[in-house]
Amino acid sequence: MTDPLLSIRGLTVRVGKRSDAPSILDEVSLDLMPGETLGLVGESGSGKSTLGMSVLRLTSPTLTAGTSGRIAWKGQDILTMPNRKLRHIRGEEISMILQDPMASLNPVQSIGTQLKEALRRGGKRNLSAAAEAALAEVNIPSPAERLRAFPHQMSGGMRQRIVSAIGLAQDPELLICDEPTTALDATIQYQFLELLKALRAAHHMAMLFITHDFGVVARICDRVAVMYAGRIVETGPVAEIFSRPAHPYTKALLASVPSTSHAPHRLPVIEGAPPAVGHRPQGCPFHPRCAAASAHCRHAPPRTELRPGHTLNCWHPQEHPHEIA
Amino acid sequence: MKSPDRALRVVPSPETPPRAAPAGPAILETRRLGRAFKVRGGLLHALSEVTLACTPGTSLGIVGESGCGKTTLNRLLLALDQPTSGAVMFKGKDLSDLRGAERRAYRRAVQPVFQNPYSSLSPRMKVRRIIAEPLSASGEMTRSEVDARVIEVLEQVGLSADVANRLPSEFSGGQRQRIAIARALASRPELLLLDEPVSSQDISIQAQILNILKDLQEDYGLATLFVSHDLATVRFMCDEVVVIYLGQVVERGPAARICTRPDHPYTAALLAAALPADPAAPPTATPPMGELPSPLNPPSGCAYHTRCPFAQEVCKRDRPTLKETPRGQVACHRVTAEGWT
Repeated sequence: MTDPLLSIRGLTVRVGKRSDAPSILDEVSLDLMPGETLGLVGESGSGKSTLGMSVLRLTSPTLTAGTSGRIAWKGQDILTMPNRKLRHIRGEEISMILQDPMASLNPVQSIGTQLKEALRRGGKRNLSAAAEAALAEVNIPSPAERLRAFPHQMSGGMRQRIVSAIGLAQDPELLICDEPTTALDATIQYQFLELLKALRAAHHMAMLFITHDFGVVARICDRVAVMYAGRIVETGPVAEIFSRPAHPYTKALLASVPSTSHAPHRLPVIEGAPPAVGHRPQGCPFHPRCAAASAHCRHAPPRTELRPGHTLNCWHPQEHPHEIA
Repeated sequence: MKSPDRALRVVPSPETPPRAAPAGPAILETRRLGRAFKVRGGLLHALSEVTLACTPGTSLGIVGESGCGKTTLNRLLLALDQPTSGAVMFKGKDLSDLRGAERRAYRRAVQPVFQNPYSSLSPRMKVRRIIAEPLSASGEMTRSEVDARVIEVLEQVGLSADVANRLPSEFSGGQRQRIAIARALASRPELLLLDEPVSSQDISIQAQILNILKDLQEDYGLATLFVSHDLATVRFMCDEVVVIYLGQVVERGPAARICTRPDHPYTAALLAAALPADPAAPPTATPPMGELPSPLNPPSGCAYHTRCPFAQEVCKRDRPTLKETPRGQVACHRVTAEGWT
């Protein structure tokens, strides 16, 4: 079996150095194989963005100081790596697309200048031709003219495609996408996801796809990790998590998503709200909102592997009784 | 013609919930409503020829992407802006003609809930004052009546009475949106204008808010106008749906039919783009293509023809009119009363 590209073990991120400081991530572990797309799905405050930023050591100094555990990139620990070495990984081996392309792009530089800067770092020679090709690859019409344009002259969908072109300029092996389609209209989101799939195949990339949208996960991910209050509560292949979610949180969350194909009288809801940072309940963090909770749930839940690759941390896995694989 | 006093008395109250209210005369309707903005280089038609009606006990969905005119429509319905053609009618009277008691009756009967409860609630006011202000402003209630009403509406949205003494900053987004809904309910409105009320909420909170809104619809016979970009929430919330593209109605019909058998290619594209939480979902026959053209320089003929996989010569030349079909209304050259051609 091949080694994972990215292997995270026991990642804890606290707000500050003190061991009693509140934690945003608590003992998170995951593996990402070459070419694989892993979805990180959770509600706001679940820690999914902090996890994505930690992989490139881009969290704020307070959080960086409070980070412990191991993030192994092709066997080397990113958390202890010297900055000089990390600079070569950022952009060259691991790249990132964020939610708001206007915040990623420099408003006073032309698209061409920004794209060529990344291409130059990637060791490209004929920068103008390479930049045109890069824009053409992300379906920007008349790329030669567009190189002279500025970010404000473009639509949101086009800006996000330009950010992707810059992100891919150095041919990374891993692309971290943090809610890249959340600010886009539905029809534009659809097209952008199709483009990402094509780019993923052309560049043989792995992807870490952070989103709150199960529809997006279903569309683009191979595996999914469901996060709640700074922990991964369930992880498994997409087909399995969607058809047989076993953690009460995953199950309830999936059930509460409205659908165009049927309209229930009322949506099943999860009462209450996710805990704020520093207020994670003891034991299973979901137990105060969980319909299946018992006294056990005040203690750390066991990790169960239901089927190969499908694991969850729960005292009461919700396996459907009359389901046979 | 109803007198304003009479109009006030038909406001539903929680004591006498008119369950399954009959679809009576419209509370608010638009007649060929249009709004054009003067901009450099000409006129921007944000909204053209929109005719719709909000009747008691029904929920109307307005669906479209950013830039389609949803916000302009909402502002016109709230009398925050004046139409450049057509009219908005409140119980049969043109909004721009309402004065005095009639205008107050309209303000009281039509209440908005906005998308972002972080900007729609004053950070300096306690919840009690936020909710009580519209009641005190009417000057028709005593202080103790106002206080009782505040507690009553808080309970209707699932919040406890002690919330009234706290500031909005003490609440999460979901709780703030409940407070915003409570404020809208305080004056016993007949119609709620909901502009993307759950788009900024987390999934588990979305379901809670949507259920509360549906309870209000059913328990008090409230009419709602639900503006959204998301067909799935519209399917859950609404009886009827109006689909808008570049300021024009392209299709309307019952929500269940629109979400399963859309007539207009744009509706089909929106439906395909509403990604189901199901990795086994079959690929769509009508994938969305292209981007929204500039509303300053809209395409000739059918505004959607630049993105439509089924466009023909006629679509580039002639603007389709909104036709009646047994399934609703549609503005498309390729659709006839019998169906797709």
